[in-house]
Amino acid sequence: MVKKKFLIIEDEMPLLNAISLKMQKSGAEVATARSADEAKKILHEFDPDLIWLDHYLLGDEDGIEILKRIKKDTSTASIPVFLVSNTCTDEKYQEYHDLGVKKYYLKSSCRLDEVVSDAMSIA
Amino acid sequence: MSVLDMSKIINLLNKNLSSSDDQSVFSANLFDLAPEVILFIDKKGRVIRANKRVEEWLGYSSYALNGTHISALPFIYAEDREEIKSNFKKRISGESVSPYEIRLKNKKGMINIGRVSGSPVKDEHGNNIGAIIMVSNATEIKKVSDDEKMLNNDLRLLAETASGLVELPHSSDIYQYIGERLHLLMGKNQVSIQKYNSEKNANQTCYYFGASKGEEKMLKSLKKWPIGEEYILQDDAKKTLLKRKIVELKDKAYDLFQGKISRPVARALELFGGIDRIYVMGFAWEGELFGSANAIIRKGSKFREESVNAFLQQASVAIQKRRADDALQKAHDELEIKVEERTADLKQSNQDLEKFKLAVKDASDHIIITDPKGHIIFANAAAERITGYSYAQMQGKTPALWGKQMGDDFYKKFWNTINSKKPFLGEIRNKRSGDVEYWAEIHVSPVLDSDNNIQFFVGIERDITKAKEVDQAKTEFVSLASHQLRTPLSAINWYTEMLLAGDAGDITTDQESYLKEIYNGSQRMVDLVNALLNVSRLELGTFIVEPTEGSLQEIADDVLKELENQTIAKKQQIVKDYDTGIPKIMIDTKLTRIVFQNLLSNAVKYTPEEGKVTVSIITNPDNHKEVLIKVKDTGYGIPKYQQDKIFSKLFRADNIKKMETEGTGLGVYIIKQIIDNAGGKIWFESEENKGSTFYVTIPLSGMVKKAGSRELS
Repeated sequence: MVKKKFLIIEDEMPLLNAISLKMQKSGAEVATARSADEAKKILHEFDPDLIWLDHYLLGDEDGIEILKRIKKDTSTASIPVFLVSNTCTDEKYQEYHDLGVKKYYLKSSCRLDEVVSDAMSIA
Repeated sequence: MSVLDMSKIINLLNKNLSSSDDQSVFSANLFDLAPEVILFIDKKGRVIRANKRVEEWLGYSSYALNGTHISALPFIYAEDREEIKSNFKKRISGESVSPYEIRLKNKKGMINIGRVSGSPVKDEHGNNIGAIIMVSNATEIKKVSDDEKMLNNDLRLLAETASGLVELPHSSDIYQYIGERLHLLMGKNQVSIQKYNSEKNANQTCYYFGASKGEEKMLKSLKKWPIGEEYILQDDAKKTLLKRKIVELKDKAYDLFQGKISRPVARALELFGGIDRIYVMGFAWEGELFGSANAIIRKGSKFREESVNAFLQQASVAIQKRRADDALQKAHDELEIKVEERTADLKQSNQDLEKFKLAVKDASDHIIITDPKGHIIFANAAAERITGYSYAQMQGKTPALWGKQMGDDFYKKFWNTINSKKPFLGEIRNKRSGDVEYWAEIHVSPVLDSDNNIQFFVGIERDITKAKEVDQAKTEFVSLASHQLRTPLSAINWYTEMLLAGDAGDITTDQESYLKEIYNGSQRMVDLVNALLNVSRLELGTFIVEPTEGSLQEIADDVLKELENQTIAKKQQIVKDYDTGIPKIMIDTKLTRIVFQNLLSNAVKYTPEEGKVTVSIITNPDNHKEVLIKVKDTGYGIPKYQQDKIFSKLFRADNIKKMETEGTGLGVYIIKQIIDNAGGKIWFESEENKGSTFYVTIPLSGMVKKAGSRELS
């Protein structure tokens, strides 16, 4: 069986580690990025089946900027994106929604295994 | 007066002098009290009878004169005797004798002037049997002549002052003054002055001049002495008086008393009063009669109609003037009182206005007044301070001086609103002098005139830059808290979750139970952070209500499912009572979920084991346009004394604080805020140890949309 490939874009190291560990446990191949720049570098090469995206990232660009880029690029536009954030309950949510995120989770209120299981089933 | 009448009177006198009959008493009195000395003389010239006037005037007893020849009477000067004798002879022989004046000497030797007139007395056959001689006191007539100069002065004064008269000389009572003057002018003639009371239409004789004491007595006995007596003026008499000129009364005394005395009595009065003519003149003004003068002219007396007329005309004018002045004075006094009252009122309103002006001037809010085009016509000190422009700089300009910082849409909406005569309320960014921007809350009200046209605009601005800054700080805190608190909590949650899932290898039972405690603790922390963030957003007013079509029942079921673990553990009975007819309605599903989560988790949490929780979603029986959500439990209830605090922030009831440590005291507060903002209502009933019922209504038309920048989570 071909492993599902998940790109995790998350600035917080402890969380990034937890997510990536859980996904690997579930049998997925994981690439991680802590900034938009890092994500851009590996996006095409890695060609993920699903992207896990946080709002605040290291570097100058935030989740919206990278999502715009993903959606603009026809080769990546169809990749489902989960927005998993603690800070995106503001007007930006609408922007993410309009840009076409697949799902939205509030980090502190969701179980990690649920999000991973959702990702596995969608990707 | 006919001779026949006189003889009748003589007979009457002779026969009934001692009778108690009214008429004879009256006749006797008339005889004695007549103003003249009256002598009855027989054919031979001897006195048969003299009246009592002779005693009063000249000091001789009337009885002592009986039998004395007319030419030998003691008050006659010897030089005049022949003249008297010859005149009597003429009289008795039927010749007429003109009245003449002679000197009379009273008992004290003082000279008086007597005016003598008389008539022969005839018997039934027409033969002369004697004569009646009347001697009137002409002394006063002489005096009048002397006084005429003075009177003329008075007349002149009266004429001169009539048009501008305020106070008449000699007396404060104008009627008395007129009476006195008129009497002086009329000599021994009688003058009476009457006042009219137009309200009662009655008149009252107030002054009487020229009547002797005897006449006074006589009139009193007749009960006609008119002083103080009021009687109604008859219409024809009134008409006469209203002519405002001297009118001679045709029927003399009868007319004078308006028929209140019989004609014979009137005649007798005329006879014994020596009355020749009676004149009256009314004092009238614009058809209203307010007084009259009556002049009774005695026989043989002088009467200068022109001067009397002139005097009365002037008097009338003077009275009118006095009346007008009195009325004017009264009006003036009243006006003065009114002016005083008004002045006091005005002073009060001036003070009020002054206070108001001060309040506006010194208000901390910027206040300006503009004309309908927006040109500034007033600005208070705060407006100068906040905008940085002086009133002189603002005057005639529009508030664009410090405005123009918002988009065109804003100003378009602003002008459309106020020009449609509605107040505008909003937040605006302005730029004060020196290019410093500030935020203001503005309230502009059109002031309309009575025709509903815009007269002014009153603009009030409050600098809310500080409030905005605080707002910004709060917003930043919310953002910070959400990020900084939730991220570590997420890490705790997820790693604990992984440990419990055995991702890091097998764990012992003890380790598992400890990890569960960590996980629960962290969950509580997450709930608390969520609740605090929601409260912050509610208080900022920035949360949004975004209604979409949703099912209340589905949301309730979802929440109940989430609570299943707890209800099973507590062996609680959950009863669902949903009306089948409740349609999907426009609700903000997130907010509705928060409402159900709070209501149901509270019900479960605060109901002991084996209790019952009933969830009803029904049509509100009191208003069919609403859905009623009812969550009823058989729990601990809320103590009566704390029920009014239930919707307060951070409130937890005393009874449950003792048995349950978990709970933020924010849940009910949050749902109250949500429901209030979404157009619904919330209330409850509760009894301690019996349970609580919470009621929430939502209009079937859906929740009210509310724009904002934050969702609740």
